[in-house]
Amino acid sequence: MIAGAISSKKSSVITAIALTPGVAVKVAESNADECFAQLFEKIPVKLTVNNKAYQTTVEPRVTLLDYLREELHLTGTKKGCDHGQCGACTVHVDGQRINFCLSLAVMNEGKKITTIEGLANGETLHPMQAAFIKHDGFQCGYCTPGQIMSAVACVREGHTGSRAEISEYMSGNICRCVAYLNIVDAIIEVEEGGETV
Amino acid sequence: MINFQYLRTTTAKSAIALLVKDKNAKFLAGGTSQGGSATLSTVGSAVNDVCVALKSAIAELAANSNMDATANFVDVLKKNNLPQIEVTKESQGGKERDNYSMYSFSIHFVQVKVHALTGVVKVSKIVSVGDSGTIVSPKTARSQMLGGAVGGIGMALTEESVIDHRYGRYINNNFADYHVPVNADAPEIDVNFINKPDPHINPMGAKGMGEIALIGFSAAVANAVFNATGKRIRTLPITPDKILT
Repeated sequence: MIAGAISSKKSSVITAIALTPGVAVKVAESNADECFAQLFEKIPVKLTVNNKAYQTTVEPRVTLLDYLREELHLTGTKKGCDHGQCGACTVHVDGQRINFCLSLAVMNEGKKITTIEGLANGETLHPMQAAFIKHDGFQCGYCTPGQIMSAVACVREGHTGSRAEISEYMSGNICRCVAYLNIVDAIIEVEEGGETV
Repeated sequence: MINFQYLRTTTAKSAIALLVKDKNAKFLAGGTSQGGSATLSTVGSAVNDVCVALKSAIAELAANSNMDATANFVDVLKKNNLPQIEVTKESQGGKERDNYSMYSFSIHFVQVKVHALTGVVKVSKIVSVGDSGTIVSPKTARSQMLGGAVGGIGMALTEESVIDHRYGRYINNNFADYHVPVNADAPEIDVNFINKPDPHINPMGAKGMGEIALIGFSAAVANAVFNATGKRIRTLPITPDKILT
């Protein structure tokens, strides 16, 4: 412990000498400290997003939501509350719906991720997307990617026994425009349509 | 000013649908505000005006090329070797707003269940009726009324922002502490419209319906709670503590 204290004291002295004000300003201006830190702080991660493999390095503090939006530019997944309370960031990981804002990128090593961008088959809409349009399952549309991902999972999980059951299992996704009833209608149609979702 | 590059129909209803779909249609609505439930009245009227102008332009073109006035506009364009027809029209509205007042109306019927032991109120059925002149888009108008009703459940029963008066900050600034209605809170809702055109206010006879979906709803809930419990709760939201004390 003492040795540690001494060595850290030593290193801070070295740092203090090395980073005289002029140098410090230069380093900050050129963003060199950030570049330097990235070499040490980033961790390699392998992910499969919408059937496309990605191999990259991320900081361990980066949520998968931020990684998708900022690095992969898959901005279909929305950031709502960033607290896991609203469900706007719902995506599928290995077929299961989760709130991506509560999942760090490094926690998803080797996992298979499906976002709203990966739901449609080319230009052909996924049955749930088509049903949302048909039943007006949205107004402003901000919660919609999360609602659709959640709805697809709801059908796959088999929680579609009744309107009440669907409502219960869709209650993790808040919609302030309140398209709830139309969303339930859309899910019932997809369920009754019998298409594989 | 609306600049349409093509149009298939001349009714205001489908014209607005087209306006939304047509990437080439531009509209610069200046002067009138697009809010306060007035967007349909103002922008919609402009769309209506340009559609009427376009209709007469097509009819004129048809007459000039010795075609029947009711001929398909595609045939008229083909005959004149035109890839498209463009009409620009400035719409300012008339003096209707000075001469007539414009109000929309709504009424809400609410059935509630109050838990005798816990005081929890649950809205179990809603009937909402709106009168906002012609209903241009029945589907989205219904969605608007649904939104107002369930938003009203939140206003009446759960939503309350609490400020820390020492520091002026919201204490419950997250969805865990500020409760907005979720899917399971939305009951069976029956939405109806009078759908009677207003003869004065604009060519479509359509009035705004942004606010009427919500206005009055929390009062209906409070009345239903009074009917169920005999308690007049005069501060929203009607939380269990207010019912039990």
